[in-house]
Amino acid sequence: MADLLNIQGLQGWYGESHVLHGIDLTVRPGETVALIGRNGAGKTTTLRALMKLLDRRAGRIELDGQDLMALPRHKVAGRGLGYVPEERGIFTSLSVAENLRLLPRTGKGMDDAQIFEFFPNLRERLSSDGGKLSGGEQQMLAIARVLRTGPRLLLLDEPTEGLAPVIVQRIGQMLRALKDQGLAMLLVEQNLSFARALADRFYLIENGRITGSFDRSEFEAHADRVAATVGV
Amino acid sequence: MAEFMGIPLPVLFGQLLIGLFNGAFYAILSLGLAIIFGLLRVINFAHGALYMLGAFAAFLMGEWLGLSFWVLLIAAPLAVAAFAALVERLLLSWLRGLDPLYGLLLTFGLALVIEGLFQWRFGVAGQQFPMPASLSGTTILGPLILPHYRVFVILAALAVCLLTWAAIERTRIGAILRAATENRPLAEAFGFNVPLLMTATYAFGAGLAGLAGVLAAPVFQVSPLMGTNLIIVVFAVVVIGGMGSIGGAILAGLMLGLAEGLTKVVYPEASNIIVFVIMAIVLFFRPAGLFGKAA
Repeated sequence: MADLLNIQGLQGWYGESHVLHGIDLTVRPGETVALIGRNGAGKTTTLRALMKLLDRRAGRIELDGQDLMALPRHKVAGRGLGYVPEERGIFTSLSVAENLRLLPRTGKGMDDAQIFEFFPNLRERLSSDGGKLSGGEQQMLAIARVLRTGPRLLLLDEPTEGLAPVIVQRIGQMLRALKDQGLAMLLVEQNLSFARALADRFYLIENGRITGSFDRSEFEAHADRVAATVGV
Repeated sequence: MAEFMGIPLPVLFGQLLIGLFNGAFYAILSLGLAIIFGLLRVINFAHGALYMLGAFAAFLMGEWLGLSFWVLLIAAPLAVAAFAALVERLLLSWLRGLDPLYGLLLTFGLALVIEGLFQWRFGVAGQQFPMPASLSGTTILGPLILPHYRVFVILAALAVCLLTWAAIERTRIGAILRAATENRPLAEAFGFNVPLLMTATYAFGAGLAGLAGVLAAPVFQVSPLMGTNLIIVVFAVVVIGGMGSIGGAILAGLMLGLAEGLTKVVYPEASNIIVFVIMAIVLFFRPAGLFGKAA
C-alpha cells in the first residue's frame, strides 16, 4: 500500500540551533503511528516541521505523493493535515463555538451532530470562553475542531499530557473509534501504555534522529529499548 | 440663566459637545491603532500622517474631480487604505517577527516623509474645505446649541466604531482576526492566510484614520501637520484604553474627549494636559490600561 505520509531526511532549525537531523518516517492510510521519545528528543519539533512552524527546514515531506515542503504555511493544513498542537492551542479570546467552527474545511469533515456524539460535553459549553474549559475539555475541543475540517491524517501532540486518568481513558476511547473509522494518525506521546494501546507502528526518536522502528507485534521484544529511549 | 455648580448651562453643554466631537476623532483613530497593534504588533506612528492624507485626499479629489462630500467620505478613506496596503506589503512586511521597535521607527520615519512632502508641496498654511450645505445649520434645543455637522460627526463616529466592534466580535472574519491576534503562527498553520489578513488589517486601520481626516476637513483646516499634535493624544487614549483593546479604545476615546471638554469649563489651563494626567493615574493603578489584559 502506498504511504499516506512520507518524510525523508527531514532536518529542522530553531534559529541557529539544528534540532532535527534527518527524520525518515512513513504513515500508511488508516494506520496509527506513534513517535516515542523523551522530552527534547524532537517529537513536537517533528510535528511542527510538518506544519511549517519551524524557522528553517530541509528534506522531503509528501502527503499522498504531493510535496508539502514548497507550500506556504497556510496551505499545508488544506492538504489534509489535522494538527492538534501541544498544550491544545485553544484560542482563549474565542468562544467554544467559535473555536469549534473556525477552521476551514479541507474535506468531508464531521458535522455538529457527529461531533457532539463523540464529545457530548462540548455541546453544553458552546457559549463558554475557550480559555475557561478544563484541560480535558480543551483537548476534546482541540481534536473536535480538526475533525470538523475533514483531515486525512491527524497529528496529535501529547494528547494525554497533564490530564486525569479518567479523561485519558476517554480520549483513548475516542481515538480508538476514529481509528476504527479508518482515520490515519501520527501520535507523539510519552505515555507508553496509551501509545501502545493505540498504535500499529512505533518510531523511537533521540536527539532529533530516528533510532528505531517496529510493529505493534514487536513491541514486547523492544520493551527494554523503548524504556531506555523514554527514560522510564 | 440656568446654571450647574455656577457654570451657565449653555457653556457647559457647548463644551461637552465639543468634547464629544473631539472624542469621536480620538475613538476612530485609537480604534484603528488598536486593531493594527493587536494583529501586526506595530505601533503605527504614521497614523497621524494617514489622518492628514485622508483630509488631503478629500480636499484634492474635491478640487480636481468635483466630487461631493458624501462621495469623498467613501473615496478618500479607500484611497488611504490602498496606499496603506502598499506600505504594509512593501515595507512593514519585512519587519515581521522583529522587535516592535523597528515598526515604530519605520512608521515614525514614514510619517516624517509624508508630512515633509506635503509641506514642500502645499506649505504649512491650511486649506479650506467646504462644509456640506446639508449639514451647515444649527438647531437650538433649550440651553443646547447643536451645530448639525458636529452632531453628524459624533453619530457617524459612533456608528463606525460600533460596526467595527460588531464585525470583530460577532462575525467569522472577526473571529479569524482575534485568533490570529492571539496566536499568529498557529492561525496560519490552521489554514488562514495571515499575511494577507495583516495587509487588510493595516489598510482597514489606515482607512479609519483617513475617514477621520475627511470628517475633520470641514471643521479644522486641511494642513500637512494636522495629525502631528493629535497623534500624541491618540496614543495616550490607546494606552488608557489598553493596548490592543478594541472596546477600550472606543470607550476611552469618547470618555477622554468629554473629560477634556469638562476641564475646559472647570479649569481651562489644564485642558491640554488632562489626558496625560489621566494616563499617568491609570498606568499607576492599571499598567495594562482600563480594558487591556496584563501580559
